[in-house]
Amino acid sequence: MTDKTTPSRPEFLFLQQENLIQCGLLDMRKALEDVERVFLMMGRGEIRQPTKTRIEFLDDTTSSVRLYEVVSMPVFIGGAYQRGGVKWAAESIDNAHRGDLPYGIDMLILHDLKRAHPVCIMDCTLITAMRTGAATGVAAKYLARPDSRVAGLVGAGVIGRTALEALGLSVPGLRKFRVFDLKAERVQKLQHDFSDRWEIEAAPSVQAAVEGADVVATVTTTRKPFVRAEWLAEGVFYSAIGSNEAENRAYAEADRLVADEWNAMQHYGATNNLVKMAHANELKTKVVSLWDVMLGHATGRTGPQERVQFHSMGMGSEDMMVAERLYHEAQRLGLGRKLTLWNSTDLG
Amino acid sequence: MVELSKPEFIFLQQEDVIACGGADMTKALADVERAFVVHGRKELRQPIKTTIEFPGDGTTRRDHLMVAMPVYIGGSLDMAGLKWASESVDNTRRGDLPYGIDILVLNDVKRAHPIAMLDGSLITAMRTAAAAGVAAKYLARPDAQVAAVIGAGAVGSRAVEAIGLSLPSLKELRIFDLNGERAQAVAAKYAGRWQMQVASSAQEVVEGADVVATFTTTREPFIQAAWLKEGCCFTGMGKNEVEDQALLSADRLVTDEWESFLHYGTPHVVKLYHEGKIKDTDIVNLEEIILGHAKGRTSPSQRIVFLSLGMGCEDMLVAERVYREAKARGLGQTLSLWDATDLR
Repeated sequence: MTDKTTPSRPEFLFLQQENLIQCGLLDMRKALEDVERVFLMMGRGEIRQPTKTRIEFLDDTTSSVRLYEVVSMPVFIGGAYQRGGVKWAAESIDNAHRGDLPYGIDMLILHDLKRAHPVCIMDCTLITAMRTGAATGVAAKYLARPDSRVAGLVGAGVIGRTALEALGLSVPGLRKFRVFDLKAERVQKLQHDFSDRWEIEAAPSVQAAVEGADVVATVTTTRKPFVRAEWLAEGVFYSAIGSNEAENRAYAEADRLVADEWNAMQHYGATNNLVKMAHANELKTKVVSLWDVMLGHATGRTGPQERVQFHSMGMGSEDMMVAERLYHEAQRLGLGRKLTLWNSTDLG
Repeated sequence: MVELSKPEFIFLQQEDVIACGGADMTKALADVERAFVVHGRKELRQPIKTTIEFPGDGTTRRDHLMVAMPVYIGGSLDMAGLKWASESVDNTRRGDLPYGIDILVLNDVKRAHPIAMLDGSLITAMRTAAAAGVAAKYLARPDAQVAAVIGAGAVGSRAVEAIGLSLPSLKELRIFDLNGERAQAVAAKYAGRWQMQVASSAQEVVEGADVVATFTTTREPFIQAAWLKEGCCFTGMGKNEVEDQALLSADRLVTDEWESFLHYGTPHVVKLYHEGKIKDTDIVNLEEIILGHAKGRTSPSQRIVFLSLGMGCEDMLVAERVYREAKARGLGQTLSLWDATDLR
């Protein structure tokens, strides 16, 4: 006779976006802490984050416009967390055209490594927006001039909004945001929501938002450069959240170039002008990863005159760290829907 | 003002998957054969899977594993999906959960949101077993009488049916497992359909068998080349279960996706390849044989070896069929990533 082990059920919690908001997802201070911790852990080698895998669908006729995309981003966060998981991201240009669903829709699975089953599955769409904004805030904390007063923001969509709040919280001297968006009502919404904390000015053009600002962030899905190099003033901190938003000369003239994860960014070099220029030796300085600056392994800003840029593609570990906090909070609050992969099984 | 859509999807737990035909081996064999055809015709996009394994110290020891397998299948399906697979030796040791537990997500590419989330654990067992059946169909002698299955776990037990259904001439199915009770249980389950023999050693089942298929988690070879008879079709669904000599002396070496083997580097066949003992021209993907682009068995005396790592497209095609059935029957729990959002 063998011992009959009592079977376990692979139970997990399903959290939809409303649950996540109840658990504090919109708290940017916490998101900033999460993302800063991720960068430090990345720098210390406590996170395993293989290169993300993309399946892209380009327009057949032009072969340069991306219509759809799915991306798999598996991660393991070590240290005190020991948490595995995967972010499954998707983007569709149809959604943007129709306006009935967001351009990007994401979900995330938190996994128990030792028991090999999911513990929580959640919407990751809003998490993506929060962590992307937060990453710009963390970068600004380390790379912007502490006496920065005026920020220029281009793009007032979901991530423009999170970037604004993250920058406001991370650069204590910031008083004013000059915001430009092709859709004026988006800017008005930001004015309505944030005017009690910062002065929010609707800029009439990209140039009016960017030129001479101490801090600049561009958050668009544009594929063609629209920021002129000379608009980026001496001493600026410029965060490029989209791709190729500034003209190449702006990259060439930067005194410091910092990426969220330079190795991963190089992996996608085919479409990234910064990567192409790095490989062609057209940059004044080498590109370093943010965590190396944070840990003192690479040089960040060394003077108030320097033009410093941060380029990010986003990391699954950022999503995972935010998700982990929300999962614990959901358990504490008893939120979410309990599901199981099975009630009983004959799989051994 | 545009009316908002909800990103709704259905969740199918294993019981739903079974209710929708997920345990039907005849259908799984058709799905997996189609997966090879779709792969061979390049009607899909299947990037190399990404694994995170522990301890990950360069030894062959592997206690815990997580794998992300994204795939897109074109044609009339036009569907993307993610298989998120995991394995844990702790589960085996404790015996309260399966060694491998998997989740599948199917996505509407054009609307960028999930349409289904399924338990993938049973589907993984089904498609892995089915792949052995499809391989036997194309690579075994057409008059094969005796098949041997080693490993009577989640996959091996189902492979008995997959191989039995794929080889109509079969007279005898032998099964061996280190855990004799498991082998007995599998033999009892299929006793009405095939002549089942439980053996007491690997050698006993392998010697004289026309088809040998292994489904173990062993990392070191335990099947000697000399045990494989002339004309044998050997199917290795685990890793390195047969000694290198059997690979070197095979008349034909067939894989499910050789590109993936090269990427992983751990299986012995890749080591032999890098040592120059096996050449590219010695290896053919099964799909090439199914599509008639390469020769499979050309004589009854050939020893043919099939090695498989498993492919996400196999899971996807089973899952897509199960999903359609669930939709038709209104099964599963409806979930939504949100009810209302101000994200646009």
